Amino acid sequence: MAEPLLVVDDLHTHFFLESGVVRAVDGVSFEVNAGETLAIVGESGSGKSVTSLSILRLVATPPGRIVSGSIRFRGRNLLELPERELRRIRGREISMIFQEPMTSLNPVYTCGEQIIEAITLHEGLSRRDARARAIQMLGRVGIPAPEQRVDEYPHQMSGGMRQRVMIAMALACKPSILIADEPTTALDVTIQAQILELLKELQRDLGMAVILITHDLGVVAEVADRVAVMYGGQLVESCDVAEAFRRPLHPYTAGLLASLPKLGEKRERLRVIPGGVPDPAHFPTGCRFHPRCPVAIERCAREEPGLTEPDSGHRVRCFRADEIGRGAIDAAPALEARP
Amino acid sequence: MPDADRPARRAWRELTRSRLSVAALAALVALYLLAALAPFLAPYAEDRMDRARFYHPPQRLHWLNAAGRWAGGPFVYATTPTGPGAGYREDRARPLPIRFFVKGDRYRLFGLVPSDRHLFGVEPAGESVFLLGADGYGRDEWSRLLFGAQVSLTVGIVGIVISFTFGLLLGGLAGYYGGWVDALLMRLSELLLSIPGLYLLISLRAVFPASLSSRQAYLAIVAILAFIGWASLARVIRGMVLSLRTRDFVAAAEALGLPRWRVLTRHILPNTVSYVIVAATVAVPGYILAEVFLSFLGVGVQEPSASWGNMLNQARSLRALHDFPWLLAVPGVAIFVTVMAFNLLGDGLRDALDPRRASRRG
Repeated sequence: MAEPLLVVDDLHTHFFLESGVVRAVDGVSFEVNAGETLAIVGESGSGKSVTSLSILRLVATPPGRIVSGSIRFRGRNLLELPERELRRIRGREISMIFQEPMTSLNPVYTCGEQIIEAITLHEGLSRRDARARAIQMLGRVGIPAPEQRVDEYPHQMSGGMRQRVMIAMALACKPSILIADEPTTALDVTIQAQILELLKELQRDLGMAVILITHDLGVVAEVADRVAVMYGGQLVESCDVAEAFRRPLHPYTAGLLASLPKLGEKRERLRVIPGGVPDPAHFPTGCRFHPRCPVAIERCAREEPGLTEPDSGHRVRCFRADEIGRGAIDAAPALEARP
Repeated sequence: MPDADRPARRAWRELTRSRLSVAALAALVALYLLAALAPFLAPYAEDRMDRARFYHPPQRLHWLNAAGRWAGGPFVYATTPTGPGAGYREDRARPLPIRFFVKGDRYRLFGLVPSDRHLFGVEPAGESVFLLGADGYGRDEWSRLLFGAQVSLTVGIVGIVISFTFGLLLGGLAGYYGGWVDALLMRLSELLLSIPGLYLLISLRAVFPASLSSRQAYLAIVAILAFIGWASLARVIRGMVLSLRTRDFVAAAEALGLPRWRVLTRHILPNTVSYVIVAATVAVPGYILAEVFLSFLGVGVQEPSASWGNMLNQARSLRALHDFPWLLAVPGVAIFVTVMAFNLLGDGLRDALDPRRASRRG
């Protein structure tokens, strides 16, 4: 099989602050094949966004720095490319959209100007042709009357419209990978569904891969082909979506799934993973999840588990993955105690 | 899109809602027009002296002749000295009608169009009209006021443009690139800001030769003002850039593959524009006053060239203040009006560019 489009291998991105080193990304590996959707899932502070910024080397330096690892795109290591070369990949080969549509468009330019800028930069089209393409893209992302809206400023649009403009901007040069960092978190539920539907449709038409950063497992189930679960800056599990929902191998994944309320199930109490996300400046020793893990053993506090691949295409970072996989132990957390 | 929604147009609409702002703007437009047309509007060249009429007080403009009849136009009476000092008496027997478009000193309008016509003047040669009085050399204050405006009004604008360009770029660089660039630029600005302003002004003047031609002195003043002025703006811009660069649209612009320089100049700095416009407007008076100060001390624009500062210089002594108050009043009022107009316009712009206010008004 050909090499995947994008291979992230053992990525470490640290922030060197006066108060100490924050290991925001500390061992993340995954790959993305052409045309597929990979969901990166994790709680706030698990390093998902820093991972996505690291791919395009957009981490603010200083204080952040990609310490080690490699990011291979079409066989080239993005971490070793000179800035000039990298700029030709940004926006043209790999694009990105952000969580907050209110702030991800520049308020001083019209929507059209921002899309046109991307097109003229990468494709060398004349302004007139770029404008025509921008209008076409706006129509493509479902903005009504694009000939008029192209000259509107972001403040004249609703959040959902702005996110559509962002998508039009990111896809204007037909990239092969789109990184979507929580693209629907800031939107109303109905708009969320529309935007996800739009992304799916565009992905199919343009044949691009999507890296979807999210904390919403419902979204994952709906759109992703594969899922990578992050915890404390590390990849803890990655596999097919169906596999993740059917047979999670990491207690954290199992906990996330168990904490989803299920339709038709009568329950007064929810299952929750006890405790909170660890402070990335002070990770616990051993497995980072062990203080919250229902099946932790003494070894987990002492040793840090490495990433293993018990089944082909299914990676996990847990000493007891075998037992969990066999169903020997139940990794789901207990029901929440009554208040 | 309706044109009315463009930000500049909206700001203009907001600005013109305030009468005070409109008045300030009108005053400034008038002042700059006066300066631009100075050689035509002034009856004399800035260095034309009437040695017989030093410290001549402002002349009264008359419309009715001695018999109380309409004289057919404004006129002044010729004056004769009353003694060895500076005392003058109107000679009622010799009315001097104000003539329009008279021939006088040669000049080039806008430095290009040669002419010797002046808006008004009196004839015959040898007589003078001093509507705002004359200084110790018998030079017309009105003429010098207009020529002085060319220096004093432009020094502020040119200085602002230069120092704000530097302030924007250096502040932008410091905020956007951070690290040692930031540290270096900010320590430099702190150094400049830690030296008392007037002292810095004078010591920088000492860098240039003591006697400069008018043009050189003008350039030196602009250079000095720009050198001092960038620091405080750069610090504010740096702060704004620090906050702007965390906004998603900056990451989005970088993610699109824009070069960092372009991200800074095209995406970050334009977002500071409403602050910069207001800051510049409010800063202009400081520059004008700095020129006045330097020229007042005699190290700015050199005589016989006029500037409002060296006009004030003439009113230095107590005797001058007491006996020839117009020497203080003429440039003083001009400076006051200009400074007030800039400050009021700055206030108006601040309100007009305030997005909260704009959105409230819909």
